[in-house]
Amino acid sequence: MRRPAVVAALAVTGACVLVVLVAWAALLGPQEVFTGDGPQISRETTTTATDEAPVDTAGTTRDDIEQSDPPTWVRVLLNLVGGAVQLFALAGMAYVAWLVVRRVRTALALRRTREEAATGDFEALDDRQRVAAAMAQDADAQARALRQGEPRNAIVECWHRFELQAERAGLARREWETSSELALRMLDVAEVDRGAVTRLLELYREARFSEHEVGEPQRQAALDALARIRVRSGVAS
Amino acid sequence: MSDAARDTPTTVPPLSNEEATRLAAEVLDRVGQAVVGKRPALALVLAAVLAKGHVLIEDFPGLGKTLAARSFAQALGLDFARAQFTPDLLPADLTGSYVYDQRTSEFSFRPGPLFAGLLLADEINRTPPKTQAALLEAMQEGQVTVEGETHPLPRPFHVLATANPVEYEGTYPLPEAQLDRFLMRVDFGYPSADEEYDVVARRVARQREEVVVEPVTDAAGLAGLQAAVERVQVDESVGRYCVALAAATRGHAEALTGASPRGSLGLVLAARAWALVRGRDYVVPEDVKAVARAVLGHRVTVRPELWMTSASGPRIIDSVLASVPTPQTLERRDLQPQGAGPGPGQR
Repeated sequence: MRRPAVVAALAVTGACVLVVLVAWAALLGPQEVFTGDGPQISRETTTTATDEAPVDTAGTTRDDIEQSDPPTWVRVLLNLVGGAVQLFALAGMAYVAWLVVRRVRTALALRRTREEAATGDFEALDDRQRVAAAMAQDADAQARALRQGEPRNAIVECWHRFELQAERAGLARREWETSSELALRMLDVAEVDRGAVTRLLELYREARFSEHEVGEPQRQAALDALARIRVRSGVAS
Repeated sequence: MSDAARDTPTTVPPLSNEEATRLAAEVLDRVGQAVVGKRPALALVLAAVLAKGHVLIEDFPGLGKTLAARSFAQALGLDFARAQFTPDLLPADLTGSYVYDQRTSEFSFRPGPLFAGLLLADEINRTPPKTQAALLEAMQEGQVTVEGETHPLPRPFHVLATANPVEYEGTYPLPEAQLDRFLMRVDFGYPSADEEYDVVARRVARQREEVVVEPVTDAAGLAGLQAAVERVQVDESVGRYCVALAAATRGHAEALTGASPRGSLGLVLAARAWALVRGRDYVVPEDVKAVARAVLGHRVTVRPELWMTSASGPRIIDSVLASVPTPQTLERRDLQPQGAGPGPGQR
């Protein structure tokens, strides 16, 4: 991903430089670009005899015609177009510069994050505390939800409250994530009973996606798993 | 094979979920005795077979493709046939042909390698499209027609085809429409150093070249397993998730063409078989994610302008899996009367 970005940045920069050069050439006109102060050429010319010399009938020479100024409106138009091209080119260069700066800042921030993750335990500790706090805050409501109503809906609601707790702790379930992917992420940062979480997840899946009969035994199993999770994570029951 | 034998598996009752899962695990263990490591890839192949599908194994030579196919045939108790696909292979070499019998003064049908429970179609991309089409027609229809006479293939009938992903000279790549006939495309990949040494150590300890895998079941048992897969439940939200995944491949920026509706159907079928292998009789979104790469990866065509980049079918599927929303957590069901299970559509 990095290489195409560099290639694209270089291509845009090159294109901007080309546009600036073209704009410069357009403003100066072909006279200055092609016949201005270029390398000194030899003044010695070879003459060839011709039978008929050109006759200047109108009283003007070829150089007079080429050096005559264009009309004012053409010059104004050319200046406007040239100015606009220059502005676009400057804007393009500024955009490229902004992209480069943003990329560098992102790379630095990523590196800093990785270094912190590799060296510091404080972040993980914070996550653990946040998850524990979110669970503690919602513990009673979660247990109440599991005890109330039809067992299938109660188990689904119980797991849903887990997801809400995770969200509160900064570990929100991404919409493309499955429940087990979220559970794995939670297990990575939080100190919870893995077996109990797995059991609750199994019960949730059965309640949510199967046509099995889900009754009081499953509710009791979910209550047991929830109790184990709360004990291990330090939430008072 | 007699017609009676061909019809036998269709009358076999489905196995219970526990029995089917135990049998599937046993098959995987037996095949794992011959093919070291590669349990996830082998499980995918088994899931494809249980879902009544065919598998394309695309990988480098020497990674155990033939051994895996032979081991599956032995473990599942199926007749095994191998056809080496060469540029001069003709359709009749696969389907069989009529041979004149001078004793009876009649033409009798001599079946080709297609008439096996499990056919290894080795290097399928080395044979011309005409022969490829003959095989793919047999895969789709479950029968072959020779000289105007139709011959049903044995059931179960499965094809494990192999293709080399690097040598393209003198090959006939399968068109997208024909790739679509394979339920899964699986790659084995190189083994780790420990696994590779294990291969060497086992060969030395065995003191012979060939590996023999004891059968776990037979054709009728496999039919029972497949019948058990048919009973695996798919929640509507999971089915819609499969459809959304297939549809998302069609609009992906790197894809020229996405997966067809056959892709979403294949995804559901393979996910059901995967769920059974994992010991469930219902499908969860994780099952779909587990098989999505193998089921959809070969059904996506990458844009030609991206051929020289790292864009690929599996990468597009990964991207789609990381963007399509999974089924919602909350999906309440109405309270049912005692003894009456909740039926479909009552959520």
